[in-house]
Amino acid sequence: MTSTGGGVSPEFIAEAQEIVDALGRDLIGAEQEQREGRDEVDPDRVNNLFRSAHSLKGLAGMFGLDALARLAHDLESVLDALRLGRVLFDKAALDVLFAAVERAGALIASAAAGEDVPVSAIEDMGARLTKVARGDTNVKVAEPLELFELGEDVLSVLTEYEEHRLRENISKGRQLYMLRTSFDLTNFDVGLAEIDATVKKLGEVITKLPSSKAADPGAISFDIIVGSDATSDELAKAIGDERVEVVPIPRRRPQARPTRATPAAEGAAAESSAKAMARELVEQAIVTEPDIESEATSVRSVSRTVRVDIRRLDRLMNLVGELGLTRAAFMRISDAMKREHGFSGLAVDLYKEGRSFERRLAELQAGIMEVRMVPLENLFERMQRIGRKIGRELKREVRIETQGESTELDKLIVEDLADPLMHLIRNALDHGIEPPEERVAAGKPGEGVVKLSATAQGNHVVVEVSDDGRGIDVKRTVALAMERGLITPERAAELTRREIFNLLFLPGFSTRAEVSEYSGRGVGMDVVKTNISQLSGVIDIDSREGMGTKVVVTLPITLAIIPALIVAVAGRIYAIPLNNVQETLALTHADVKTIERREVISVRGATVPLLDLRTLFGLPDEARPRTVYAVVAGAGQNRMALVVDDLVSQQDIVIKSLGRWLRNVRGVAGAAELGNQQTILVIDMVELLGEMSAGAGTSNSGGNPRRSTP
Amino acid sequence: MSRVKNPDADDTWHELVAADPLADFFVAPDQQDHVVTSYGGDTFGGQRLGREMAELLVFWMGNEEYAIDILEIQELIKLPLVTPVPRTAESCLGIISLRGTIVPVIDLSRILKLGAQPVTRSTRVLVLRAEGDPIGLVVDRVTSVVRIERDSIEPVPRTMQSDAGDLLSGVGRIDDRLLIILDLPAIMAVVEHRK
Repeated sequence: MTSTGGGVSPEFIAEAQEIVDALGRDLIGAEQEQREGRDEVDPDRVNNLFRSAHSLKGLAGMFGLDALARLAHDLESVLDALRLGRVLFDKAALDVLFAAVERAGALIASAAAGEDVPVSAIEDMGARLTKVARGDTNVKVAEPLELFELGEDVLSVLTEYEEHRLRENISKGRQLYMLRTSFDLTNFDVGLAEIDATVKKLGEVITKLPSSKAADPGAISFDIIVGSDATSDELAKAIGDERVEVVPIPRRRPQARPTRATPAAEGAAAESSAKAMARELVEQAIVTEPDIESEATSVRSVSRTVRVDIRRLDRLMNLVGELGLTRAAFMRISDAMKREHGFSGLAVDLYKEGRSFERRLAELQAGIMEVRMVPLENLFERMQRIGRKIGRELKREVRIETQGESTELDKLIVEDLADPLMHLIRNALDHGIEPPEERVAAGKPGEGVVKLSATAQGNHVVVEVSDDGRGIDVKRTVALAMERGLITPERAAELTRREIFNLLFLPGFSTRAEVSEYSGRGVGMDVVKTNISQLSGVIDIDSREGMGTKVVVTLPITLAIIPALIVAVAGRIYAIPLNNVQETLALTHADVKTIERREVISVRGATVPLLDLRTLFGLPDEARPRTVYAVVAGAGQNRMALVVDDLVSQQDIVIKSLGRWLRNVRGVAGAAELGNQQTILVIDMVELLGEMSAGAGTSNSGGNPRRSTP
Repeated sequence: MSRVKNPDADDTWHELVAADPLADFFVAPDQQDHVVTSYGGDTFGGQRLGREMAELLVFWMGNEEYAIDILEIQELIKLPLVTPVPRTAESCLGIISLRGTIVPVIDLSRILKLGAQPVTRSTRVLVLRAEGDPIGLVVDRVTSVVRIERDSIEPVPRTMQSDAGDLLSGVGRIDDRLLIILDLPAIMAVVEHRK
């Protein structure tokens, strides 16, 4: 069922703590800058602070920590005002910010301890923050923009932030320049970045406005407004590009070159009054804040987790893989010693040590694997939120239920699952769940249910998205597939239910005439299927008209190291990921039957089509040995049996990508190294299954026109 | 040095190689499975080259001399056991694992339509940097590194613009030797698209 606000996860604590730490760091930096007597706090820093507060707000909101969310919201308002120059970033403001951040830290600690803090508990802090944020009218300096000949056309397109930066630069007595630039369309970003870097040394880039004055169609022009103490010659020289024209923006009234004090003079009075007010604020704050001491008692971070870049884990995983190869080499030596010297002395020692090494290595591997595993909880929560939002916008009354969110999966898989899952939920809401009236008319409750569930099944996790909507219209699906030329009428007549549902995965298929914002967008189920296949997963649909639709996604729990079956065909060695293998059986010629020129075998009562790697991969066409093996793969009724000459062994492999140049080779998932310096290909059973159902009709075409290696 | 004198090498080539201080690099000792050759400037007698000079690695394909800008080359290895990959272009011999990275190995003689060349003791794989995703090119034998003024590189003569013409970027002349310079982007395109 739905779950929100329950226990707060360690990940949340870690992330929130990180944000609070970052806020603290930036505040200390700002304090430093103030102490050094700078004119203003580094705008990048203020922006950082603002963004941190914003993230904290989002995070706290997501976990239902209302007090923290509220505090972060007030913090964000103050920082926004500071960022936009509505409020002066002075000592008083800084003090309040420090107090607020400390309070946020305390709230996180309470959350970690499982305490529920009501919003009312932070009202005092909220009041202090709001006062700072409201300080605007008193602090604002007189309009310095009047000092320069800036046309309304320019001023009107500036964001509030840019306008503020413009003011700041003017108050600092800087000259404003307009850089008229023109870049080639293909690499204008590079040119812009260069100018950015150069100008930063001499001043500040306030805004970059695309200009319509481009001379030729292959070029793009920008008017860049820059504030700098340098002269136009100095600027032009620093930029060193004659295509960039440096035009000083003239001052409105001819006057002596202003000193720092001039533009600010008008605002000086206001400023001092603002300071007075701020002081007053602080005094008030101290009075209304009796427990400021206790708040600061613990400076220890409450977070007990470490966040690690997944690539580091990948590297470790690779190392473990390589160690596995070393292990295999050891064991070979040990075996050879046993053969040569018998089971005695050093041979026995080596064997024992080898075994113990093997065990430790397995533990290490499991340990790293465990670190990579994350529960589906966060993903499911995200899906619920998105689902609710889409439901509202599509005017569907819908409840999104989740189940099994504690099921764990490899972090990378979880990340890559987000997009396909979101698409499935959109589909369920848009195509599945009917509008309330229609539901009631059909005798169903007005509120629809979309269920998102996960269950662990050995090395797999099964994720299901089901709805109680209108289901898939079988007749319409077939008609549409014919209309789009995806199948012939003859073929249509013999399709099974399953095959019909599988039509939805064909590129260029969409069961709805009109394209809605949520399900259309040119990403169809074929993309979902591709995404799932890339995760070595299998996707399956089942539906009952009027009852609902269920999409089942089966995924391996990890992709890093996988157990594989090593097979031999025509003298070549291949690996087949074991998670795709259902069973293997020995075959003789007599077991193979032919149905409509397709070779099939019978696997415990079910007829399974046979796929021969020799034909598929164009391997040397030696005769099949008398006894071969069938590797049965697939899900549900969509199964196949791959014919191989021999089953060599079963071992863990590290799949490596074939790289950029061979990425389009279909049917090959990658390569793996065996212990004996041998590199073998890993067969992509999911892709072969897809080829088989796509090219249904012949047993060997694979539907692929590519050339084969002789 | 003795290994340089391959039985299949002709005399003119001999001398060329014997005079080359790098000969030992090009013909790798057997005990090393991968020979990494550094092409830093110092390897070439400490002389840094002017901007207008190109350093080219020269190799033979059949009886023609070809060259590739040395900066494009990551390393030079002996031909290891290659794992064939189905459903790739005919010129793709397969893949090798170069210290853990999967590298496709391409038969240059097929790309250049020179007909199959036998694998001999001097057969080498030029591992191209190829924009960070290395490609191995199988060549008959690597002979030397030459320096040539970039300006002296001529466009490909019309007479050579046959089948493989668009894979050549120019022709360099040293005395009466003719070096056919390969256009690597064009070769990469062949590897990438003609799967």
